[in-house]
Amino acid sequence: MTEITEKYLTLRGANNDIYFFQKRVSEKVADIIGTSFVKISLRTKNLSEAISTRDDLLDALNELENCDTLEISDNSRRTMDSLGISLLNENEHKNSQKTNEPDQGRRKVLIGLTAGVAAAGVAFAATPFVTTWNPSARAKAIGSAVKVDVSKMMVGQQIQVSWRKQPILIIRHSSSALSGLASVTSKLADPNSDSIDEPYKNINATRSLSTEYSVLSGVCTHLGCSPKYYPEVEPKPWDSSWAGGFFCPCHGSMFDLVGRVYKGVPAPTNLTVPPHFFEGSILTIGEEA
Amino acid sequence: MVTKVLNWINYRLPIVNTFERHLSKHPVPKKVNFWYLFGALASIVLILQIVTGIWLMMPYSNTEEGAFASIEYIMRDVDYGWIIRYMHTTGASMFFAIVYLHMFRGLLYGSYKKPKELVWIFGATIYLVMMAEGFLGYVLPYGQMSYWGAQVIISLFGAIPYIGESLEVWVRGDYYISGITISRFFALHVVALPLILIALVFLHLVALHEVGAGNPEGVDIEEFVDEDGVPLDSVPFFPYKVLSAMPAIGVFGLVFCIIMFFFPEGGGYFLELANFEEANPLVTPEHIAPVWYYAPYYTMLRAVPDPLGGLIVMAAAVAIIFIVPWLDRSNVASIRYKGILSKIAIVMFVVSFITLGYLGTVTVTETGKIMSIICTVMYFAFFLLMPIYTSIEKTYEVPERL
Repeated sequence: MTEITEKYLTLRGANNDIYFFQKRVSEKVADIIGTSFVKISLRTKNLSEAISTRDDLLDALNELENCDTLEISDNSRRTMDSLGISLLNENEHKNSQKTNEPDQGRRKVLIGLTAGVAAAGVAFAATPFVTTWNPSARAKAIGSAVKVDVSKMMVGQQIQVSWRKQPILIIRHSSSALSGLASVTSKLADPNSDSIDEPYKNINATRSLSTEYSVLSGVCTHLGCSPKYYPEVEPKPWDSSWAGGFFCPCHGSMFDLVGRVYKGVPAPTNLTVPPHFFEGSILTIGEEA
Repeated sequence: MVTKVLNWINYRLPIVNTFERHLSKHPVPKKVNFWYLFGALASIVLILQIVTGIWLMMPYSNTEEGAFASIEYIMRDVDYGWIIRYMHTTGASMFFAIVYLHMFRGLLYGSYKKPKELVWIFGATIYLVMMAEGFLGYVLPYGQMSYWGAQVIISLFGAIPYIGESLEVWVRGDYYISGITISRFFALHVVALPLILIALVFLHLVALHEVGAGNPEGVDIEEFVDEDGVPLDSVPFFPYKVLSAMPAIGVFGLVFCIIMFFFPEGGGYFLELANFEEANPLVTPEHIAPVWYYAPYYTMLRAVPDPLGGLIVMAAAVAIIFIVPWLDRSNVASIRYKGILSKIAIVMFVVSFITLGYLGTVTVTETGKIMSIICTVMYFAFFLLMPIYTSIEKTYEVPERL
């Protein structure tokens, strides 16, 4: 048997000498002719005859693919008829008018109502699954306020305490450092903390409730890293005219000594100030007075 | 006797037919190249990850105090515990390497073209779930990089306006990444996501077997079929594909073992050095870098100064993969018959993706920042300009037969 390389043609029959047409067709055409795999005898042994019938049939199938069943040409209809391909949908169209159509409007209302009730049920059932993810009572208790005695800090010193396992930076500023703050104002993105919800705005230069200490959340406002304290006024790799402040090692954000963000760095806003109050030298973090 | 039992079962549950249809007799294109191996390798690694994962669960402790210590316990005290863990960590990196190559194959040879759109979408979803799975798994040892990596990723939720901050607390279940977060991630990592992953892999394969595997020529082999409707240019999966894949699986196994035994840390790219230290919420490591397989997206996140913008860019970079079937307007599937524009585009894409990956693992510098913006633009240009360059370029004629 010689192998045929014409598209969609293959030799079959008792002596393997009759040309057959074989092709997979699209879903749309399959619906109309009732099969997704067309396999029919072209009733010929002649290759050129087979090719011409194939081409007619391909045209007819293309037509089915591209237009409505009722609009196809007589020519194609004849081709398919002669090969025994019948168009199912046409007959079905005629039959369907006689059958009793269910009341679709009523059915839609019922389906809608059932789905509505089911959705409400799902919402109720989902509640415990969503809320168990909230902090538990124990986690809330552990996350409550912390107290620190800040009187032992040296001037210029920074200490870190942990509140909710979040580093809280406490800095005891020298008066010269505080008076030097004004010199970097031009480099800051938001010197007055207008773009954040600043709790103790315009009370002290330190941004806290104390004239000497700053209390800052040590979580970079970019992506939550922990900025490091570099109080020295000297050239640094990240800034040749460094006036002291905080530098984030993750993505290079810079802040001044009271946690105000520089222009042109990844962090969008100043370091936040956690709720706090002073009772003498005792600082409470995590609670308002 | 065996035949009898088999017949009895097959009459009630068609296992033999299913096995023949999807495995032994499943027709696959007769000529494919090495790019078509990665699907099989990925399924092997998936099984390996599931098995080693189950074994790691046994000695692992999902508590804040116990997590890090239990990893050291696995490495030092459990008999051969180190090999199970290194198999799992190497497997994770290999899984991503294989999936990246597998996806690149898809881009090269148009494995998403009609009617394979769903196969592609299921695949892209698998990739998305894998990223979540990998992230959750990386947090479990509760080392420094686990903690700070998770801190960065979870604070991405915080970038969402209005609900961000409460969403962060809700995801963590605490005010920092604590034992509560660990055990939550543990449940997701070992039960929820693997179930989803397996279901998706099943759908990926069923959809693939419905429309048939592709080939490097982009030829539709279904156009020439024999009497039974089997494509002439196909061979049954068994033995042809199984046996020819064996040497490749062997080579892969060898590479895997070399990494596992000699370079399990992959120079700090597979297991980052900072993660050999227990998590400390008060001390940020000097340099936070993601594992290599997230690095390209991490660079995109960093390229945008605003966290919300970064989040959107990063999410869009993954989301855009899903719509590739509708971006490619070319009348040919394979890169072999596409025009010069597509070829330039795919080279630019590879260069930008690798550069983004490199930049994600190093410290930010001024040049790096500019490079990352350029590469992010190139990455998106590859996808967004695809409808234009695939429709205007002149393509070559695809042969009829494979």
